[in-house]
Amino acid sequence: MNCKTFEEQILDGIDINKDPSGVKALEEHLAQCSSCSAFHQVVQSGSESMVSGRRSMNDPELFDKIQHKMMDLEREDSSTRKPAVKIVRIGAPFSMAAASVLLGIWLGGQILTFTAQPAQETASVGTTPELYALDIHLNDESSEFIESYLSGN
Amino acid sequence: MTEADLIKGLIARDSDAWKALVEQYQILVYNVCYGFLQNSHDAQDLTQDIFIEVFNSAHKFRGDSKLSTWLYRISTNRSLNFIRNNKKWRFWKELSAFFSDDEIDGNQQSEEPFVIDEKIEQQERSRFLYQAISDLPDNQRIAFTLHKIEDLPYAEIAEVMNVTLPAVESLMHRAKVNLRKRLTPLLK
Ligand SMILES: [Zn+2]
Repeated sequence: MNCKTFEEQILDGIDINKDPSGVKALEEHLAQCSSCSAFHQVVQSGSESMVSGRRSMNDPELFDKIQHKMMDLEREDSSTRKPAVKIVRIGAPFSMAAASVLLGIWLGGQILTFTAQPAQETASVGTTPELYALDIHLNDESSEFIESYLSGN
Repeated sequence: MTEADLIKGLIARDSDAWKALVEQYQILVYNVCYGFLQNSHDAQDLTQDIFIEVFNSAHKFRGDSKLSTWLYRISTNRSLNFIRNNKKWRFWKELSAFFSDDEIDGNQQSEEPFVIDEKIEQQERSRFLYQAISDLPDNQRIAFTLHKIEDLPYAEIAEVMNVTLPAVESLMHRAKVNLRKRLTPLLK
């Protein structure tokens, strides 16, 4: 048998009652193979450590703890849910109104700036769109569209 | 209280039935959580959450499997969700493991240095296996943990995972191949 087979046996957790000769062969191999011996130690100590924190006795207070937690959760739920709904309800119309106001201010500003320019200056904006773009501090697609529109006019 | 009475009581939201369920199955639920999380505080917390969930969703229990199978399934799913949802969880767990090493150093100053070294080495070795199991794909991890840690037979694992018996055998085989692949390089 090779190391791979022994490693598989180690992971399977070979049972001394079911396979005494297999256990003997494994023990003999472990005595002379350092790699399988290290593998065996890792699996054995790892398995022992993983089951060491298991419980075999009931926690007598668990039911009370669960009931308290459930009450806390219900209390939390009732105290947080309603305001959250209100925020959502108030939040959407409020943000839309705020956005409309800001857009209105921006567009109004643009119209005023545009109409207040002397004819010559307007023409100069048209010939130097990059300066105009720098001036309004916008550098996205919409500003490029506005720029091209203005320079085209 | 028989299992049928227990289920009937749970569906009717009867608190006696709920209390009986907690008493009868808390070790099962806690140990499954502990098997996946390897942290007693988290396992305790999750156990409470699972019983609350069971109480709130008892009406969903179809009764086509044993109550214990249903609890194994819920506990397994909730444990894996807990690990998935708590991205920081792994970090803190590793950090606390690091400090627990320090504790060993502090508590056992009277011991010979080689004894301390050996204990730390043993702790590290024991973490290799858990780490390797944690890195397995979920299905292999579930099958391996339920079989090796919970000692469940393949047939019951098949019910918990809602797959066939050959599927569990295949998952176990692949889990062992992957564990060998992951563990062997760590030991060189
Ligand atoms: Zn070997």
